[in-house]
Amino acid sequence: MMSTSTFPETRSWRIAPAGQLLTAEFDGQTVVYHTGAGHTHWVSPVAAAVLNCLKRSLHDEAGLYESLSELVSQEDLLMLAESLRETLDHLKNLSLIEPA
Amino acid sequence: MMRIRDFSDRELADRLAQGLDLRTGPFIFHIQSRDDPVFSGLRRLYADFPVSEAGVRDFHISVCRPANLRRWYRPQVVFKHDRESPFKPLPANHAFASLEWGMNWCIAGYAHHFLTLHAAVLERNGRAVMLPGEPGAGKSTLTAALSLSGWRLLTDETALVDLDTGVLWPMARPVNLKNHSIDIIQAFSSDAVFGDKAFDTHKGTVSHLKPSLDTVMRMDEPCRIGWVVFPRWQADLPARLTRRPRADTFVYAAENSFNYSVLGETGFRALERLIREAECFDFHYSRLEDALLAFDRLST
Repeated sequence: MMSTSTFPETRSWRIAPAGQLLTAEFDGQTVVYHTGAGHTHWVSPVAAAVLNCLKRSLHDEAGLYESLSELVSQEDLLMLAESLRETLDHLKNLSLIEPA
Repeated sequence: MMRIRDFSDRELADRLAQGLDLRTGPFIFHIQSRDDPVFSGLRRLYADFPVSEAGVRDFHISVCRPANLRRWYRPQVVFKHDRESPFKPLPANHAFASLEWGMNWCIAGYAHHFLTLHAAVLERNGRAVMLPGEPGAGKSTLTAALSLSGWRLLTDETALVDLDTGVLWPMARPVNLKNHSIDIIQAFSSDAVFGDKAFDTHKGTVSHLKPSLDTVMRMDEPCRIGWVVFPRWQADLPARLTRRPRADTFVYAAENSFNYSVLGETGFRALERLIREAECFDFHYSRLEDALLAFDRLST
């Protein structure tokens, strides 16, 4: 398990509050729509998992890593930290999430 | 119930001058015009459509000559909705095309009791196929050919998704064909009845294909989705259907909806139900005959 020192800033994230995040899953692939941002996106499995966590409650990066690490194989765990950072940046750029 | 064909020329012209309540699927258009192309377009292409006497209208529209010198010099027409003109005046011989585009504009802008998607819809054996597609992909040509080959036309332009039940509602209006597609469909079927051509429009030459009697008589009969097929005409390719991810189809449909964002969660859920019920495909074809065979196989 990775320690929180991998995310030295330990930023917390939340769903962008100016709207509602809606999700639909088709054949294992996820589509999201944020009523505030007004756009629909087909997101990666990691992004879908991040959004699912944040829909339940505000999370910091270490907490997200911990939640997601339960969903991936040991091999994929090595890539998860980098993938999580990229995903958070991507979702922020799409105005779906924001630092809390 | 009176239909356009039940009126004499004189009666139809008088009705149009006063305002004719044309019903097309769930909409009643109150149409006012004294222009010949509008008269002849309605006479020929909407002959089987009912005229409502209920006095309740969804849209008040008109196609008229502007009251200026252009009445005589290179005459123009202007489309109006509720006495406002959303478009610039067009040459007089574009009057019927202007009416059709204006009707589309009304539905796209105001029919928010449906989820409206930019796509053609046809039905066979109780299931509907929806055809979205980029301009130039061959959607209208394929729609016209299918409608002349045993498929019931629901719409060639705007799919109407019921927000409560998810069914697709027909409008049964004429198919808008452009440029070379007009010749292709004229050659394809001797049953094809066209309106007059409008030349040099912003879409080139356009003409409208009359919907079949069956299409019009069943304009109150909605249908559940069966398939979403993205057609693309490509020279020298055999007709081929390939699976397309539903998630990708959802995003495309959302981006090509007229009112998905206006509807918010209601639109999202309506589209989710529609895509969940549908099988989704990309479809490449070069010959209409091959395309029709592929669609026959799909529907049986």
